[in-house]
Amino acid sequence: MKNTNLLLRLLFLSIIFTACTEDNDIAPVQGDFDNGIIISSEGNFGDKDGSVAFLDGDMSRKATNFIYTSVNNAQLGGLVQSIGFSENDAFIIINDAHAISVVDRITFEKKTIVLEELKNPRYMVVEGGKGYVTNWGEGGDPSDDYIAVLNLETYAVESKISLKNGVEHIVAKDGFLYVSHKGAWAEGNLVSVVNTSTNTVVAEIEVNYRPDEMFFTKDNSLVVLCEGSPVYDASWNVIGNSQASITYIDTQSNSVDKHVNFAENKRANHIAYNSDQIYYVSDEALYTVNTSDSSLPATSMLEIGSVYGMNVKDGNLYTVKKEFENLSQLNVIALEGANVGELIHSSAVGLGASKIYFN
Amino acid sequence: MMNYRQVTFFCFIAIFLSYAQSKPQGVLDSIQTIDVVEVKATVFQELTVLGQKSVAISENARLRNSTNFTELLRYNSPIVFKDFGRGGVSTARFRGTSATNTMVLWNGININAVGNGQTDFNALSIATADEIKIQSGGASVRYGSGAIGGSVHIYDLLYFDKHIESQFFSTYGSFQTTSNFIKTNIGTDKWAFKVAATYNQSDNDYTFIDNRYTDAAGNLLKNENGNYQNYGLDLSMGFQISEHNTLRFFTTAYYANRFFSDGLPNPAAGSERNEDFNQRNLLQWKWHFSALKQQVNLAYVTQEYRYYESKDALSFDYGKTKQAIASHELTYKMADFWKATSFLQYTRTQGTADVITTRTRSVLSFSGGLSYNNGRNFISAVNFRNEANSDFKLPFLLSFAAERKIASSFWAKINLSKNYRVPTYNELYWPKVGNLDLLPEYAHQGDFGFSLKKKQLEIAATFFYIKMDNKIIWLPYVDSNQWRPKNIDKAINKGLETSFFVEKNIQNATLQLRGNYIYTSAENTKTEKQLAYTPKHLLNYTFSYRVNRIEAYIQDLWQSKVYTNEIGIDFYSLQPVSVMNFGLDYTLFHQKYNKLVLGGKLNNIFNRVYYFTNLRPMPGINFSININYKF
Repeated sequence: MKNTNLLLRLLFLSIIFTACTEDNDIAPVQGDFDNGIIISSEGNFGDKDGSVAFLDGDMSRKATNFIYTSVNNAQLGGLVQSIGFSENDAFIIINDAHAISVVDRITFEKKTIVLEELKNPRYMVVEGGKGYVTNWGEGGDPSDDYIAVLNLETYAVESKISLKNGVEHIVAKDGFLYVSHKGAWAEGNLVSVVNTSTNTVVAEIEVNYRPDEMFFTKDNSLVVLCEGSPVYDASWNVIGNSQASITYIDTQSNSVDKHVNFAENKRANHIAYNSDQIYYVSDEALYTVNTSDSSLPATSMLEIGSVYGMNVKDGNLYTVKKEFENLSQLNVIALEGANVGELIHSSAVGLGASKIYFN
Repeated sequence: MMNYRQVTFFCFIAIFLSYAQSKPQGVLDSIQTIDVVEVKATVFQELTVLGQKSVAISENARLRNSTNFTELLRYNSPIVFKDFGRGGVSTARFRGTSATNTMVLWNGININAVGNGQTDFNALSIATADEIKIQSGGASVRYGSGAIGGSVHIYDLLYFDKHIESQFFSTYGSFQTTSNFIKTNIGTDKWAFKVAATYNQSDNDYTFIDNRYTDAAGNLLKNENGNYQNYGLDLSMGFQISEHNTLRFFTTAYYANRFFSDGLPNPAAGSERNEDFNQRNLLQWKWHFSALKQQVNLAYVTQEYRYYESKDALSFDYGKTKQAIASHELTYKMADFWKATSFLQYTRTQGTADVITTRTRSVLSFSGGLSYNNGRNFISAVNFRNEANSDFKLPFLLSFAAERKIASSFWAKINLSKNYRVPTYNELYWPKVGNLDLLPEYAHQGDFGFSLKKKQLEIAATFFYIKMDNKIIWLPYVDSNQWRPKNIDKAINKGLETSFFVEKNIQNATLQLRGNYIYTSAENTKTEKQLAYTPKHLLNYTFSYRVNRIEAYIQDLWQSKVYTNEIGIDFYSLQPVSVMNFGLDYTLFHQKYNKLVLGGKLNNIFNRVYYFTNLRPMPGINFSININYKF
């Protein structure tokens, strides 16, 4: 008899245990994630906890976090590097899982996951009905970098285009792809141009070291932020930076139009473009320069603190601050009007927030 | 006047002989006889740190959880493990402390990796060890840097009398998993030998049964690239030079070849491979005369890993370390109740890695103490340690412990100590991220507990309190993906650690319940949040029911939710774990020196999805069969 008692007691204990632990603060969300801002968060490297947040365009409410998980009851499962967009789909690039989670760009419902033929995917652009995804291959291998060409009907990689080492950002215009070679684990100083009708590299343009973010100006000039390489001393302390610049490339001749150089040992890590005006962050301050200028301003526009990602739209600056013990913070700051510099909105978003998109 | 060791030794001999000579009344009677190994274990009781709680891992438990060391301790000890899926890298935490605060000792020698200060519990074979003991609580005064949360002790036994004992164990199960060992102990009055070998391997290609994750075609994914194989060889010998002199030599070699799966959502994303080569040697001379007892240890330990970013790669990253250890321990029994000890140890550690040029660290430590034991109801000890470390200045350490008998079989215990961990090679010297400004971690600790030990009932409970300063945490640099270690946090860990054992005979059946329950509150004093990977509740137990030749058992593991960082929200957490295994052992025969047991086990009988790291699932229901032959 006593034995049955004991067993019953154990069973009872197990019920208490399971009952106590059922709670969940990720409420199911059914959302229309358009007309607003999408923020992607890398998560902590190795913890497979990258995430996506959404902030409604009118910014009347706080951002909704973990929207992919709320909608799909599953995690993305890796370091969310970036998101590419087609007309209907969002392509969430999971760098360390060598995967792209394809979702409806309005509902964020999962359509499929691309697991094949990707290796350290970085960024994606859609051009002529196809997706083009830069891939490092093995980070330490300088000869295996490529663009994966993604069929947007079947969501399968249909071909690969080999490129030089360290492919990073990718933008497209009129059938041509422009890829910045930041360098992966090494240091790069190229921008490659690929013709999408032949999938061949038609030009490799030398720029300053660590070319990173790119965009086109109104007059079709390609602007590249070249961050420059850190210079270390013997014990790996950063003691300087090689020449950094905002470089303009003529897309007709595929040659450098002008380098707008940073001062010695200065650099910017983030850049954004909004109606002829370029915004960049250097030493925790925001600067702005017109595309027609040939030198950078000496004085900053605003002190904005340490940021890990930024974007500009309709006179507002969006920044994310990277945090590792806390959630990241999304800040929206006015750049125009009477309240320049004012914090319009602030929300907590997922750990390691890094990219801001307008959906 | 015989000293304690002699008493234990003769007790052992007496019990052993009476066991050996008792003519079995038949198979059933001898099954009830206590295992020889448990008797020998008393030889090592003196190694228990006074005032603390320890748990011995029974041979039964070891055979029932033979897949790897992680699984064994997860179901049978108060330790919390974080492993990257079955067979993946696995680290251990006592009481919410960190993996570097958990010390593993082989025959008394610290074998934590020099590079990261941790032990990977899935890269360590204990199949051929003779005894495993889990000691909770800080013991830096005795063991030095890293003995904060607790220590795991692995022993080989050598004893001098006429004996030949062998054991063969083999198990085969799901995912082509097999664990095997064979060992032989041979001895005479003068000589003792032990030879043992183990071989373990698994395809480990289990299905990820979490159906929220599938491939593009909607199929469940598998643990790709998660296979492993490892083997180990032990050779020990002892020689009794004279009545007062014994010489023992232990040597062991281990090789492991492991592949690391990437888990969900894309197991194929990982193609990493890792090789481990570990070799350890220990020469031990024990001498005792009258009230003096002396032990000299000379050890040489090498560890090497080779890490391949891709399994097909020929090039690899590596780390190699060599440690030479010399120690001298002297115990002097003064008067009737007093004992003084001194312990002098010199350790020279040399470490190198593909990215770290050779670094050498020398540690000379002197520790000792005074203990009082009235032989009836009160034991107390004060110990100190002074260490000259070539890399760090360390303070004088002091510990105090006492145990008092309150009632029959019931002891109250206290242990107060200051403990530390010096930064590891990786934390200091890894290019770009190493931080030469790091300071040692310090922990002020207290254990207050009691133990009740009767024949069929054992309960031990300890309240623990750990105040940790200068805690070393790896944090990312602002604006970069580089992580660097910093002394930033303070933490206070407190809780209750209990272990229990109850046995009941009902007619010809025996019921047994053995387990551990731990409540842990481990808070970062700045964020006031529970530390990552620290469950508030952990319960494991084995319940067995034995009738005649058959023993059936269930093993159960409950772990409450853990957070994977200190933000403290559910998105960054792992759901509570509840897993149950069921096993059956059948004793085919059991005679004087011959015993043959066949066993079968179903793991995760309810086919639960469970995780110990985010998105690296553990297997669903799976089976194994085994054979255990002693001869």
